[in-house]
Amino acid sequence: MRDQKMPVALIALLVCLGLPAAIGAHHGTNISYDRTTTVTMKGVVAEFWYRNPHPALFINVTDEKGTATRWTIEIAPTPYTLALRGWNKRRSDDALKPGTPVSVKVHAARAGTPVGLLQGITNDAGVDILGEGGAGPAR
Amino acid sequence: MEHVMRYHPWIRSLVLGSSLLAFASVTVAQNNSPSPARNVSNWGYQAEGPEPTLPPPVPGERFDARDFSGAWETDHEGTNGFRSLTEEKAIPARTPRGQEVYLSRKTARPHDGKKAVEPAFGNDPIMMCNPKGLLRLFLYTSPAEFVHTAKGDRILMTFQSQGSTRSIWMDGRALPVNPEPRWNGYSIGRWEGDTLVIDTVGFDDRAWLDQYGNGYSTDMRLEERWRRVNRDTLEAVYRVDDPTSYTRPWISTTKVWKRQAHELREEFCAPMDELEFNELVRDPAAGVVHSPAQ
Repeated sequence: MRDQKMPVALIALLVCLGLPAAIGAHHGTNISYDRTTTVTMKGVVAEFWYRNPHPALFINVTDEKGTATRWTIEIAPTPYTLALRGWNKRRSDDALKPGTPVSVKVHAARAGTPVGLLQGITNDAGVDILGEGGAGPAR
Repeated sequence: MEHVMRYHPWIRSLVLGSSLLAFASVTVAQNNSPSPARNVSNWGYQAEGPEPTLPPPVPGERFDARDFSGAWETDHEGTNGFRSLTEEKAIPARTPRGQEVYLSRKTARPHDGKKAVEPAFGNDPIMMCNPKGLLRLFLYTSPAEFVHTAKGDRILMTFQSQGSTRSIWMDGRALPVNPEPRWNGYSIGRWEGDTLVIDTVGFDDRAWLDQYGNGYSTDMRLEERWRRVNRDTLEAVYRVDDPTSYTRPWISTTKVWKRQAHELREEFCAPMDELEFNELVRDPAAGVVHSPAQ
C-alpha cells in the first residue's frame, strides 16, 4: 500500500480555468472533484490500471525544488466504455508504459489531496492520447 | 503421369488406381478436418478483431417478436429518469419506512431532498462489490443478454455487470410461497400476445432500487412487461408493488433497450480491484488517506 501525504500544495502546476466537462457523472465525480478548474501537470507514468470499477493513472510529478509527488488520476469511463471507443487494454499498455513522460489535465480533488479526475493525456510528442473527460479519442 | 503411360496397361491401371485412392483419402481427411474458425467480432471488446456491427435495418424487415436472443443495452439518456424508474417528481410518496430507508442511504448524488456525500463517506453497497440487485441491474449502463433455452422452459437473462444471471421460468410454475430472499428474486414469465410478462418475488432488501438509495422491502412484487417492437429494439416497463415502502405502485417510464452487435464483455466486480480503488482513488479524493501496510 502506498501512502499519500496531504495536503499537497499545487506543485509545478499550471492552473487554468476550464469549463466542467459534461461527462456522465459517476460515483462522486461531481462532488469529490472541483469541476470548475482544470489543472495541468507534467509527470512520468508510474502505473496504469485498465480495470473495474474505473481505470486509473498514477504519475510522478516533480516540482521545481525536486520534490516528487505521486498523483492519482481517476478515469471516469469504465474499461467497457473505453473499449467501445477503441481504447483497449493493449492500447493503454502501449501508450502509457511506466516511465512515459506525459502532460495531464485534471479536475483536482476538492480535498487538496493529489488526486484528480482525468480530462486529457498528452504524450511527449504532443499527441493527445486520451481525450477530455477520459472519453478516449476515435481511432 | 506422362511417363506412366509408357508402361504395360496393368501397371498403368495399378498406378492410376493408387492415385485415385490417395486422392479419395485426402478428400476424406479434408472432410474430417475442422472447418475454418469463424471470425466472430472482437470477442466482446476483449481481444483484437474487427469492430462488430449490426446489418443495416431494412424497412419492414420481419423479426420474431417472441425471440429476445442477443445482447441489448438501455439508452439512459433517452428514457426519463436517469438510471431510475422515473424522474424524481414521479416517485410515489414513500411510507414512513420507505422514507427512513431512503434517508439512511448516503450517495454521491443529490436527490429528492437528500444531499450528496463523497463516496468515501457513503454507504452504497456496490462500492464494496455487493450485488446490485435486479432493478439496479436494469438501470445500469452495460448490456444484458437474453437466452431462450432449447426446451422453452426458461429464459435466461445475463447482465454484463457483475456477470449476474437470472432465470425466468416459462413452464407454468407458480411463484414460490414465502420465498427466501434473493438479490435477483425469483421470476416466472408468460406471453400475453407478444408481450413477455414477468412476475418476480422474494427480494433481498439490502440491494438498492437505484443509485439514489431508493429502497424496497422483501415483500416487493415486481412486474415487467417486455416487447420487441422492431428488430433492434426492446421496450420494457417495470412496476414495483411494495406497500411497505411506497403508498402506491411505482411504474417506470418505458425503457428502451437497443440491440448490440457485440457479445457481452466480462465485467465482474472483483473485490481486490474495488477495495484497492477505494483505498487509492475514492478515499483520497475525499481527503481520507490510508497509511501504508494497514
